Amino acid sequence: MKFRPVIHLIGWTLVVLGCAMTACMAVAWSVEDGPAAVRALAFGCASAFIPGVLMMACTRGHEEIGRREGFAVVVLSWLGAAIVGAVPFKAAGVISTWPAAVFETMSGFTTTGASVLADPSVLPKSLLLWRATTQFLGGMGVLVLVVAILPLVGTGGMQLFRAEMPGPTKDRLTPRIAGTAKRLWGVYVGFAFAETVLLRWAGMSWFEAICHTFTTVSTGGFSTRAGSIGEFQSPLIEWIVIAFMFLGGANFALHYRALARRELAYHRDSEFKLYSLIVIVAILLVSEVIGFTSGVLAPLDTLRKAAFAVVSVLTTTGFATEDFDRWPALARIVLFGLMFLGGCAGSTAGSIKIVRVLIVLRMLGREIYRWLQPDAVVSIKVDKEAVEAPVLLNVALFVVLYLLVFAVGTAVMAVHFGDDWVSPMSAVAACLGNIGPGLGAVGPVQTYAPIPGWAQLWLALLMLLGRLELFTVLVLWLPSCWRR
Amino acid sequence: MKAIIVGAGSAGRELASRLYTEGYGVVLVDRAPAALEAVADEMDVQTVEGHGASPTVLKKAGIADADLLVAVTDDDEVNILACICAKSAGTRHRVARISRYDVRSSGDLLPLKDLGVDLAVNPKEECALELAYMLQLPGAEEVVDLMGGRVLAMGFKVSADSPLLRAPIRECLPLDVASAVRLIARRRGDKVDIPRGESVFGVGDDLYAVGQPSALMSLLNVVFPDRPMIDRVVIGGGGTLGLSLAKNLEKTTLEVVLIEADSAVADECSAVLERTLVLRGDAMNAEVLENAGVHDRTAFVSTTGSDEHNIIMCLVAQKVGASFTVASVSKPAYVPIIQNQSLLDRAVSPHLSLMNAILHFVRGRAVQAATVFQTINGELLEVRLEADHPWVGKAIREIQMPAGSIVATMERDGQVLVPTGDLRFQAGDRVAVFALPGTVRKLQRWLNR
Repeated sequence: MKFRPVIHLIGWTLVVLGCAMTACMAVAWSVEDGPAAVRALAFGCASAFIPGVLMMACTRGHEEIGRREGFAVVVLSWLGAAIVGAVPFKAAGVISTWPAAVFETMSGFTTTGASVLADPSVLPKSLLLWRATTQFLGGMGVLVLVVAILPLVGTGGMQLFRAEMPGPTKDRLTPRIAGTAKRLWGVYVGFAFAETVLLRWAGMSWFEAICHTFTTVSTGGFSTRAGSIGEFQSPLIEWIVIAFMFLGGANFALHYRALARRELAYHRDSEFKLYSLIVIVAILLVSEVIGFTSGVLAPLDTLRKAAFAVVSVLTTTGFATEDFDRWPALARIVLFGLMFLGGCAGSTAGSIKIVRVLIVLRMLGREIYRWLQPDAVVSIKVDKEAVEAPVLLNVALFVVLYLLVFAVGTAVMAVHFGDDWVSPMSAVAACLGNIGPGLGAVGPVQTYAPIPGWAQLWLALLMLLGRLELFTVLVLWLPSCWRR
Repeated sequence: MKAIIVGAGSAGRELASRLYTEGYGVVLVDRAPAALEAVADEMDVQTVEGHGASPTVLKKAGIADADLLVAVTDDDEVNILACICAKSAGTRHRVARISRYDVRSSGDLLPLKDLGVDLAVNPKEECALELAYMLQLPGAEEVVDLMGGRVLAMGFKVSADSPLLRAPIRECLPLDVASAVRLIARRRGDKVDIPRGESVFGVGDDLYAVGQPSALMSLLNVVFPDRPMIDRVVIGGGGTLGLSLAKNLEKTTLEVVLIEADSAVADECSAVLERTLVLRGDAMNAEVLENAGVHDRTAFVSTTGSDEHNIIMCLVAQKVGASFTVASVSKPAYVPIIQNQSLLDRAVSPHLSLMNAILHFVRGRAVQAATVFQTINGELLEVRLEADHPWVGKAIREIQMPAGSIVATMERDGQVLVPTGDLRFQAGDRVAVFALPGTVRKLQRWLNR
């Protein structure tokens, strides 16, 4: 491991965060949030800029980084971001303990959306903006942003990109990785702009439109209101948010092709097709279940409520319009199952990802067929192209590892929850999958505040594992990764 | 700018990293997934697996918006097909590596230019040309040709006993030498600048001079009074490289001997060559070398297909008494290793020569031609002055050249002239200008006005 370039790049990440925090501080100043908020954000800026600039000044960056350095930079930058980003919350006193503040910030950067705040609307506006900004930065990835704006030496950008955006598909929009990162961020910012305008048009204030946009396109899920999107009581806003959550959960390379090259490739992408199919089937199923029991709502309202919950959970956003924890068991089971699917590869969504599910399903089909026809040679194809054996193995093992981490995570959380089965399982599924709200004690109208500090940190670690897709974080546990 | 490279062998890989530093976005196409995986780990390039001559594969590599296609597989047919596809796709520049001589020079039966091959290069023949220049100026670190070989540019080291150390450059060279060559660059460590009349040089500096071969020879005689003198070249191996080197050397005054172990190949060589002495024998053998006349005014070049044999052969030749030894190696990465160990005087690699030829072509688009040095980052740009060019009628001293550039040489009516301050440009002059890396782009715009 070459430590100097690693430290240099982490320094850069902190400086980028510091710049974002400075922007929030400027907002605090202009909307007269009071000296406490300005001071808290100033503390935050100092804790980002001072170590960041020091790390950059003491090391030289013109050194090429390899595989291991890439993993180290990404994981350590994310840990650093979660700690530095928590400073304003703690300094302003809106969150009383350090573990809770780190939990909230990690939940932001990993676009989980799990919160310890019962009513975010009491926070100063600038802190709400910072909270939404963490999700916006984390959605497409802080390091992807660094790759897009920094001229990195040699293969540096590629290593960072691979570590932060893993996944079985390698979709380069341009031959150079920096160009790909720029285009992905371009599409992302373009979506954000469009949604802000639409939400403003639908009746939100500019401030709330921006905050909710930041947390929708990133499939994050933080809201400025205690009742999340549901508090606006506006079907129009809900449909707009559903649409952008759905777009955020799809592959951004497809969006780029559609927008920049005017080639609609959605119908040719089998992952996108399965994603849409799952959304439609789940919406119909859930609306059928909740429509029957309540029976008081108009069919379109039932459909909207079901669609919002399904898309919010599947894209791992975590907004709520309804306390789905009070829905019938079948609806809750469907939502719990969706937590393990997630969005498409190359999206801002978390969890296992549809393409892996697709590949594993086809592998299962092949395995069953082989019982009948042991000599058959069947290649697994995605979009008419055979997937290579090492990728198949990686995908299958990822799913196994994901479920293993889920099981271990649940066992640890059970220490706190005691007799309750639903709460620890859904808390871990919701954090590992970067969804946010779970069921039971961590349901959509509950918070993670009552959970003890150690358990909050454990869940924060699970969020990071989920966001960086397990292997990036786990590889740092190997001692040989750190050898010089 | 986007470049597609077909073939991820060592030439393709080296070319990918060079084009990447030139600012290209590079896509590498190869049939072997293992080769691509190795590349994907080392370089920030896109990789596409598949047959390089397949239209679907090339489409997947994004040939529609590529500016350059370079096909460097071992297969001439694949390379030509890839260029044909690229031509239909509208790729602007297409380069193919063509090994077979008759394919390259068949003329109307296989019109490569019309088919889509803008440039057909054979690495071994390019390498043979480089070797021939190097052997004409032993002692030079690097030699490149300008104006079709009538003018050479060479780099040489200032040694501890060099007369250049004594005083500013004006005073330490004999007048006839100083007036026939032009010093265009000085490298000290990593820093490259353009020497002025009052510049002082230190031990270990690399100097780059431009002039006609005879003038450069007399410059070398002054700066290295006791350098090896060569009147005979012995070539080990009669393959494509050895044979075309012998052909090139036949045009000079040097005596040429070629040793080849295989009698059938040796027969072929002697059928093609005119005044070269072709010997059948194993050049690893000291007696064979002695028999070939290796003595203290001999250069020995090993050109067989095996890197190990080539290196050992050179060591044997040194033992027998050769004063200058050169080995050709296949992997470009071996060249600096061999030169640093100073076991042999020089190492060359056909892959490097291939790359230079391609870079020469790629960079030479804006002006008429550009020559690239391997050892420094400057470039020599050649331009022909049309009647309406602003320089015509002006003396060199009146032109405000961009900082970091210098007029290196010029040619008028087939005569090479040394550009001094009083010389006036005329329409039709061919001028070569040297520029430091930061000035190249600016100068290209300047020259094209």
